[in-house]
Amino acid sequence: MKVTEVMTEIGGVAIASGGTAMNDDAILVTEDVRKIYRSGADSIVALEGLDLVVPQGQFVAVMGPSGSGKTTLLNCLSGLDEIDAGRVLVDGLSIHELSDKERTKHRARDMGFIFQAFNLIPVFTATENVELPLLLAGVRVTDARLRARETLERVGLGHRLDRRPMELSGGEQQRVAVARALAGKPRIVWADEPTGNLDSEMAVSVIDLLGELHDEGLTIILVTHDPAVAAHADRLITVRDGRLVEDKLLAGPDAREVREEVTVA
Amino acid sequence: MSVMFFIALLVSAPFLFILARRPILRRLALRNAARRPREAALVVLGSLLGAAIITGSAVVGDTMDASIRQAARQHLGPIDELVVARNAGEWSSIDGRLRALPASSVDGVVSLASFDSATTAGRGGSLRTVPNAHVIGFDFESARAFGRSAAATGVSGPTPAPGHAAITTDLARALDVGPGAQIDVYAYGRPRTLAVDRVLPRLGLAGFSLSGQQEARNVLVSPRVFAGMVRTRPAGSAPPAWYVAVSNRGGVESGAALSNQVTGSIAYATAGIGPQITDIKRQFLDTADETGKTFTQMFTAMGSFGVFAGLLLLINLFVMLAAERKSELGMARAVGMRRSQLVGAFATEGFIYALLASLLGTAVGVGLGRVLVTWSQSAFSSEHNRFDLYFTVKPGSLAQSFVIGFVVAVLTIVAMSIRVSRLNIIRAIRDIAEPPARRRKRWLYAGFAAVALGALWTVSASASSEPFGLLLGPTLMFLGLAPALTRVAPPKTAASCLAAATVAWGALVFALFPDSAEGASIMMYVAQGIVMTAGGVAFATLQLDHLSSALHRFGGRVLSLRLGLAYPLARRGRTGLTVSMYALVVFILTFITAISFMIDKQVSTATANVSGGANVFVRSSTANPVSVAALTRTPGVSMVAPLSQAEASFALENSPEEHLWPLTGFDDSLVTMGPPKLEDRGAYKTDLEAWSSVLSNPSLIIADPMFLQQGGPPNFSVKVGDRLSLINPLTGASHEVTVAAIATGDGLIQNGMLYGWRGAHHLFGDRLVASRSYVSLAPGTNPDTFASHLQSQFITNGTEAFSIAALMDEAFSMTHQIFQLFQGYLAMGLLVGIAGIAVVMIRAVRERRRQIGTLRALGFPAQSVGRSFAIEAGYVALQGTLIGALLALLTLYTIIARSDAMGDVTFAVPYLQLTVLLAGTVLASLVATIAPALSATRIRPAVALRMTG
Repeated sequence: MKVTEVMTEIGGVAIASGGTAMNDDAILVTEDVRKIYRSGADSIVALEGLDLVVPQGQFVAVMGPSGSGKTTLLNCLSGLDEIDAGRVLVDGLSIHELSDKERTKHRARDMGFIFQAFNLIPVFTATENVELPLLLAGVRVTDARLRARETLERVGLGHRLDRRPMELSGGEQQRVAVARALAGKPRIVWADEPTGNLDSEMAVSVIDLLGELHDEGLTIILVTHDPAVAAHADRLITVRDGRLVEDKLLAGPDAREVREEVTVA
Repeated sequence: MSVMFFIALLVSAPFLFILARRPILRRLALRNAARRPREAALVVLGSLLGAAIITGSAVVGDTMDASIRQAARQHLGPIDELVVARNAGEWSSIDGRLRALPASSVDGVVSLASFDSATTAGRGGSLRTVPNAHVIGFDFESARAFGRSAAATGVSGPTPAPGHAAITTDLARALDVGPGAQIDVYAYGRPRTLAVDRVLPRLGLAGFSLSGQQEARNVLVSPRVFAGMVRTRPAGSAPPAWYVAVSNRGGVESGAALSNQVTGSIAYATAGIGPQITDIKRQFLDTADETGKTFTQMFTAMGSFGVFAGLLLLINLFVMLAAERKSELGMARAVGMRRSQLVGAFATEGFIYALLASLLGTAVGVGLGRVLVTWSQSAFSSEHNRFDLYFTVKPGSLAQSFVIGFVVAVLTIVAMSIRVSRLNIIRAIRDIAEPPARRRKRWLYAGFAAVALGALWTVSASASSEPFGLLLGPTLMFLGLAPALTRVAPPKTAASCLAAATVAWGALVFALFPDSAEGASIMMYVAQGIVMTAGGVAFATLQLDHLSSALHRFGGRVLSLRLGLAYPLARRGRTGLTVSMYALVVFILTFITAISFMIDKQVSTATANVSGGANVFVRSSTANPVSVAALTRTPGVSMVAPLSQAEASFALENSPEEHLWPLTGFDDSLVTMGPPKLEDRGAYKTDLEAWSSVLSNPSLIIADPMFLQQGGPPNFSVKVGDRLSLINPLTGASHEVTVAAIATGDGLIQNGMLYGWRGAHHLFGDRLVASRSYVSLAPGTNPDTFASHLQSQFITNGTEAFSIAALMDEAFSMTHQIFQLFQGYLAMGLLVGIAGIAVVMIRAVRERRRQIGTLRALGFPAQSVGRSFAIEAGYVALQGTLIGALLALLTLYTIIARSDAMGDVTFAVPYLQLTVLLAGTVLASLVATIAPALSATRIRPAVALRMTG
């Protein structure tokens, strides 16, 4: 099955000849995205002809073997990295046509990020880390502090508000990272192996948390190696050698079977 | 030099062994050093300044030493000893006796005699005058044979015939004449016209001069012409100086080694005559050594602030290197590397940096020394005082500077490597923070030991007013109290109190014990600066929480400000090191700037003190002095106080050693006119009472405040009540005197010791000529115009007249230039701070690459990232400069306001200079941060996060 056919089937999305998303509900649309890494005379095609449509509120898991281009896909689609060809539309906005300043502002306002290595700012407390994107989005200092504390309480860290990252366990650090990604109420959250550095218990609690947020309507694009984590998603995309080779819906009538298939795999 | 080489080899031995025989450690060390060449270059750059500063100081010392030695060649040449006769008869007799000195130790004897004269050339409007020339008579053929090196004597050609003379290049230049020209020499009441046969260099006998001036303006004539000139000597003029010069076997400098032996032989040969015998060459060379060492020590002491700052930078760099490689080091330990091997690998890498840095630093130091010598030249040259510097670098000094810089750097690196190796493997691999250090009992015991040692040191130092013990004893006690106090009180409060106590003690110690500050070495002030800076920075670092909360309250919205301050506030150890780096250098810079400013402000007070009732100082040729009567008749003169100067010998109580020092006799006219102010009048109620007592009592003397500061016993400082033997070095006649008072420093007038006329004349007889005067002018007479007029009116007397204010201005200007030189040199230390912050920031950008990536991913604008780095650098520089400046001003205030160590100087703050200095420092630090800040803004989030999958 062709990727476009899958997309049409699973998301009810159609791509017009001009490449504009036809479905008003789509939050993310990519058109023939290409990314090449160059090192001296060598070049490696990291993404090739990537077409993808993600509707608002979908939880998408991206899987693939190491070096397949999963993280590159996430970086390029979120605007953290440049692309060599194609277009990426987030909320209808072609993000790679924006200036660095505009793109940065867009990220601060509409996106949240969760990384495998947590990437908290070590000299900030948990509260300060979480309020950072709020302040970047222009929220008032007192409101930001309040919302940061509320978000941390929500992720179960109400008793760790003034601790620095080094004073928290891995699971707690990742919860702070989740809180940081959510505090600004983003439209879309990008998560790169968010459970990669956690034990299974911690991983489950973080994924459950993401699941809850998704239930509240948040769009999540999650890169993972772990089929158990991917099984929580609505949709599973498989990438290999920079190409989208498989796209499955994990929600809907056949979802259970697919989930089992994914988990066993 | 070989000792230095041995020390360097000894320190290098373990590292050379590792490099030769431990392939794994060698590979680790070399590959880590070569891994990031740009950053390795930065580490080397940051570390080389210590060696550069040490080398620069040594080069200045070498230059001073060599310049004085050069002066010995120019003014003495082969002369090693001078025998001074009382009269022509003795002179001839001594000459005859000394010719029988053994050839095994002496290779020349020559007689020469000299007197001062005014010399002119030209007529009318083109008249050129040299008031302070010297007429020297000797036989040229004998002179050339003197010392078996004609070239070293500077003498060439036959002895000038009657009516002819040879002159030195300095005189030829001053008079603008050459061979064939005619000059007029004024001495002993009448002028003589002489034709210039040839111009000789300022060298050896031709350049003979004991005036202490750089130039030798000599008129060289035959003994016959000389005798003819002296024959007309009127009463009231000084007789010529009759010398028999002796050259020891050996070269110009090496001959001085025989001085003890030859001096004994001369004394034996002249038994019964008892002339003054001076081992003049050795004195010159000793002065050269002493001055060279003094300058090296002075510059090293001041440079040591920069060297310490450099060491802090080195420590900081290694802390950052260790932090960056934490997980690698943990992994190395995990796979089986022993702790000692880790130290070996890390220290060997540091050894490579230290070796390169010390080699480069030594080379840079030579350049720095060249700059310092060029600056110094202008500081040592004024209208009436000139001293030429000959840039010199001795290989031994270079080796010593290299080894000091190298050894200090290697020891620091080894200490840091040992600290780095004490890591917990798991925590290092997982990059988890170290838990708070356990309270170990051994620290408690070490603390008690430190308290006991500090107390002992303090008690012993207070008994002898020993400054180091008084400063460091209590400091050691405060340090020792820390482990105990932090157990019984909140640690931060206890540590803050101890840090504050250290600062307070450092600032007050010399106000509480003023005697200990007198004669204290510069190193003592270095120690004081380091103690106070350490206390101040520790206190400020401990109080950072207040700044942190204030920041949240007022600056929470400005994210770059919050981020910029978050790192220094969170990493206090590192911040403390960088802040200390700045504080140390700014401390000494502020200290010198403020002292220079306060001394400059003293010029009018100092002029009033030195002047007393006089406005103008006059001096003339001793062979043809202007008479008091003639001076008094000059229009505009209100009163004249004649002064007569001779070179006297002084012996301290219970010491057989004699020291030559100028002595000035004064009479009652000075007391009537209004004498100069006294620095210390002892038990006398008024200055006038002290002057009157000294005038009337030959057992009393007023001491020069600089008495025996050069050439005297170490740390000697003359005091009221000191007993001295005053000796006429020509006759050996002596008189016991007591110091009744201390005069104020008189700058370029240089009266020396002041003694009543009656006693002076009794001791020195007709050698004491009233060739100097203080002149009081009638109201409305301009001193400068008067001085200029007087000089031209009494041109043939070799008259030099100066308004006292102008002379004091010149002296203060020289002092000011020396302070400027110090400031310039100390600014090199600032380079350590500024280069340091640049290096620290470059490393910080690397270290925080991932965090910057995260921030950018979260929507932090690139400009804000750059701004946060600038804020961080500015904050560290500002904190360091403020702490350094405030502590320096506090120290100065306590020294000046609470003790007499600085005499009449009053405390004042040079607001403008300090603002420029501090703002310039912070600004330069910000400029140094531009490159790392820009590189931080260019970091691409995806690359920094290494999100490759």
